Amino acid sequence: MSPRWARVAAPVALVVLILGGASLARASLDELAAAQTLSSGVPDLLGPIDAGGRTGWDCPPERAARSGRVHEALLPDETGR
Amino acid sequence: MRTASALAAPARIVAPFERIAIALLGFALLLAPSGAAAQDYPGGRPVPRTTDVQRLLADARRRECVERVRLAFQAELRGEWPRAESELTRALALAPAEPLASTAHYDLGLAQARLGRPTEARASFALAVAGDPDFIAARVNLVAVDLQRDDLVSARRDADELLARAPASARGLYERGLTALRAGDAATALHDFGALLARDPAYATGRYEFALAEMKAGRFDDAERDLRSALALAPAYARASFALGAVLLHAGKRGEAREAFARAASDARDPALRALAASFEDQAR
Repeated sequence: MSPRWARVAAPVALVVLILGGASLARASLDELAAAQTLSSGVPDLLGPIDAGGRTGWDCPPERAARSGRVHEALLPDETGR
Repeated sequence: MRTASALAAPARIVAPFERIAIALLGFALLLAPSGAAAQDYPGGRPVPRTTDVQRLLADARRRECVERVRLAFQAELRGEWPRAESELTRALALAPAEPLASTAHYDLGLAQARLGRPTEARASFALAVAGDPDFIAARVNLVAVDLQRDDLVSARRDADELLARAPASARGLYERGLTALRAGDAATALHDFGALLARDPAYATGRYEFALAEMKAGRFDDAERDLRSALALAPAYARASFALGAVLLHAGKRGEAREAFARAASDARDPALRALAASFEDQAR
């Protein structure tokens, strides 16, 4: 390679490196932000059951566990976090 | 004689009334059983009438067991977890029959979890489920403890079994969806949180989780729409604002992303999230 070509190639390589680096930085910022999104916490455990509380399955924890409705199932509300 | 006849006369007058009253009373007594049926009394337990030592011992053990589980239940309601654990351990040492045994294992698991021993709690909930496979509350707590221990393989298996027993369980759908999301299984997370949202579209936490699953599946436009819906339902939902910032960054909308991060930093109660959001707000410039 002649010295003349070298003089042209060096700035071009520098520009390519700078643009590539900026693009990588932007991509990594996107990925970093996506990686920092957290899923909600584990729902709290269902409460205690008395000795006679499961007669006919009539106990609040069992009802919550079986319920198909969101508000009856005691699901977490994490909107305040 | 005059006195005697004077006394006898009223007796002759009263007698017909007495007969009528007795007849009415008898009639009322005949009707009584049908009227009393509205008030239902539980059948009384037969008083043990035995002198057999083994049977008397077994009855005494059963009564002690019931009483210890009852005391443990009351202790748990008061938050006295060591006391509850002690009572339940002693109750289980008496080898109770079902369903008392699985109830005692369940309550013991709860106490152990509250005392910061999730591995022992998991074992107790597993014993409750082994004793009674249809004990859904025990299955729900088993998956929750798996998730607390970050044991995603067990959590997925236990959540699948929970939903096989109780397919309608919202709790089961939430727990399996969360497990799938953490394990990177976007398809299952989308299915489970989607099923929850079909039942209650206003459940903002579920919509946020659904949006995270969409992000994992590469559906960023859908995720943006669902995060905006979650924020419409709960405007101060800082985690949703942060996730929206991430989605907008991905779409190259840096100005809007910065606004979303600023909103997250302003609304977050968690200092770590507040600092993180502020940092991304700066970097998105």
